[in-house]
Amino acid sequence: MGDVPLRRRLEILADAARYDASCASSGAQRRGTREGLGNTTRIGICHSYTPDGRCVSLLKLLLTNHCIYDCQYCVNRVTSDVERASFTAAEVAWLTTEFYRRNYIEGLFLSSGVVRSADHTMEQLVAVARALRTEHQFRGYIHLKAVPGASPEMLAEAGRWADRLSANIELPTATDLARLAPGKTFPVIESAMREIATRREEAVEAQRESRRAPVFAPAGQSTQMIVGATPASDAVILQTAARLYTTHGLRRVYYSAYSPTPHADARLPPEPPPLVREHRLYQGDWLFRSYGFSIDEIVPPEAPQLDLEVDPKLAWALRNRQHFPVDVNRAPREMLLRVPGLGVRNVQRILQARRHRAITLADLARLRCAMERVRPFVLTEDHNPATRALDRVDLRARVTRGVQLDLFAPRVTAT
Amino acid sequence: MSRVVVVGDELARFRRAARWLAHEGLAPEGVDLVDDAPTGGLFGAVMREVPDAPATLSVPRAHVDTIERAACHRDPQRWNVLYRLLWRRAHGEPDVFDVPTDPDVRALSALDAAVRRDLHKMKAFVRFAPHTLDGEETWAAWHGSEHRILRLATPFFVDRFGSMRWWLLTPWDGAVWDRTALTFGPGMTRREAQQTLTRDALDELWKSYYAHIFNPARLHVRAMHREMPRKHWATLPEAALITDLLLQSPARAAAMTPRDRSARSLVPTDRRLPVLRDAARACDVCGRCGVFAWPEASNGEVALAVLLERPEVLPAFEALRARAGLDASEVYVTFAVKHGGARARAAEVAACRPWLDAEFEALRPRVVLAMGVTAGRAVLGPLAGERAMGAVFEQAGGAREAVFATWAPDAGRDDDAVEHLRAAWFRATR
Repeated sequence: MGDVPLRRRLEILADAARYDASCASSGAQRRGTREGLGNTTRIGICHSYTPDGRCVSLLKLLLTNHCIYDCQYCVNRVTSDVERASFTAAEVAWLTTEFYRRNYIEGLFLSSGVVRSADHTMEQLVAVARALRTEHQFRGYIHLKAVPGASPEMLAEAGRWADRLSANIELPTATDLARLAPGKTFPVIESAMREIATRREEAVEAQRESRRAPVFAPAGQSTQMIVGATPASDAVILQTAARLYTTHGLRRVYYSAYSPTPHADARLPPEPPPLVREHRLYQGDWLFRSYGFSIDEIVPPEAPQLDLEVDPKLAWALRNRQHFPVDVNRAPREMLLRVPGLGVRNVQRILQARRHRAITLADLARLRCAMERVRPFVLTEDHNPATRALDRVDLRARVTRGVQLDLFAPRVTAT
Repeated sequence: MSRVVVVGDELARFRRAARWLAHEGLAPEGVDLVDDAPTGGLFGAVMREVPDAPATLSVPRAHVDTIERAACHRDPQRWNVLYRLLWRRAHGEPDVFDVPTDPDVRALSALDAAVRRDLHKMKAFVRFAPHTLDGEETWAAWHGSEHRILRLATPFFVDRFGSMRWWLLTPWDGAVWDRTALTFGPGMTRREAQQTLTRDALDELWKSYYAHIFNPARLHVRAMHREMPRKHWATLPEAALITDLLLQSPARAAAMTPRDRSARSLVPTDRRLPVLRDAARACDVCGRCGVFAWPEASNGEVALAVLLERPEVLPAFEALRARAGLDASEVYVTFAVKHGGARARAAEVAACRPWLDAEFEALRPRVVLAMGVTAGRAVLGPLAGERAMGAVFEQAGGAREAVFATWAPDAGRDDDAVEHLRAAWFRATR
């Protein structure tokens, strides 16, 4: 470790960390002090953007990329010949505070390869967070990886210093995991999630009684699933996500498209999944969390894969035309949320505006709704001839006309 | 011809002007509220100062912040939009602010949204560097904000960097925070800032990080441009790298994926032991250059297989076997790494593991005794460890009934190891 210069190790361990999609720095709030460094705001901040279109909000590093695991999809697996490196706790704390002072970052996202044992590894991560909070009075954002298999005591201390914890579920099914990640199992990963969820509930409860009570991971927990390394369908992926959201109260599930490695074994596909699949999964995830859709509606048994060409809400509307057109002046919020092209914010604006005025097509256009998609599905105060297209077989072509297939990288941002 | 009122760029002056205009009953259609006095041309009456007037207009409480932000926008039409809304609210449309679809309200929220975005980008893109100001070490930054937002932005920087002395500059104004109070002063042009402020050495570390945290295999340049507009690049040290990073991306993406140091692809589908042994002899994926060691004995199923770390441990094991009263033919001994040499590293054990898996698949031992942590890792993965010594893992993978873990033959725990060897043998032959 000693002879490799810090800068080179920073490169190696940033390279190793970039496969964790999360860079969120939102969800916690901590005022600044005159003695300490930094604060944490409810809305995260993206301090830079890289050529892959992703935001840089946190200093995202691995403490070490040495690892005893041999997970087939991971570049840091023990059988991979990547260059290995490690930081000391003091080095990571120094990088974090110096970067923070210059306003490069919101805080730290620290993960690690597993060395010796899960508990030993977790202890190393916790040591960095503890040093930042106590020695450096650091009040910025800290996200720590929760190493599955770490003891409840270690996780408890991690949550005391960190804003967010995340234990990665890695793959959509238990069988996928057994096949590609020898040594990892759903029960072990999920017991870490359960531990975090329980501690969080206790902390929230205690906060209600006394505001002085210690917080526990105030920005909650998240997880990540690799997509496209196994044949699991979008339906299976979203069902697993939904189960994790409901049973462990996760804030976010991140989806990361698998990238193939040369000489990989026959268990892995030779091609990466299209990036747009990742994007559609995020859209399906939003529909579940914020739009009142059930997973069965997003990916019904007859269509277990998300449509890559149109967004999942539009796909649902095309399959369920009997619910349309929706009267924007009368329909309840739940139904407005189901109209293609209407987002949560605009639904809110429509509800507010219609208390005072009747909504016309021009009003929707002024709200910058995606008119191409909205028009056939709504009734407005004025005449809307576009609804006649609802019964036409070419409706799908009409609403997607002029909409370029946007090969979006998912917008994984700090907010 | 409309009456032109010079407001300037302060919300307080707008309030004064609007109060007087409303008091005089001058409708928005007949007035033009501007920042600067017009020059030349034919204009109506130009008023630079308006008289005092009692307040007849009121601002809805819920929209005070919105109006304050919109006032910071550089759009010269902002005062007219605001006056029109306030006038309409006072003249028969008391709810106008609550109608988000109204064209004037839309215009106001567009102004507000632009200023909020500008504020957000300022919080994100300010880059402090050490500087000496009035003989004191000060963290200094110049930021090319689009609107006049410094006063709106300073509370954020005071809260976040309250323990630092800093100097924040924009094209219009500047602010110094001395750890107790803020002092506002003049701003600086971009050119002046370039001559006054210098970057520091830590930028180089930050640039290294930036160059390595992104994935060159999945570029999305449009998204980057949308969120980080070019006009801010000059003050972002990392932005200087972007062109080079884009040029290098294809090559980096190709080189990004590491070589797999695993025998996985070398193991023949024919799982007979002699075939496996011959194939393994030529294997060099892990780069260990030692003596090849794969026991010749047995080509059928075995009851007990003993797994040692490497061939060099064999003599120590033989001694223990004799002490346990077992004959050489009663146990099948094999190794976590098939080539001898120095202590096996985790990467070597993992690389060799497909051979071991194939070997066990051919022999189907009922019980495996793993001696030492390294050997244990080869069959038990992360379950192995000092704490696992003496433990029995039932049905731990493969066709085997149980895996026993014990100390390595050369660990100096002979009594325990012998006892565990006997226990494993009884279990295997029962």
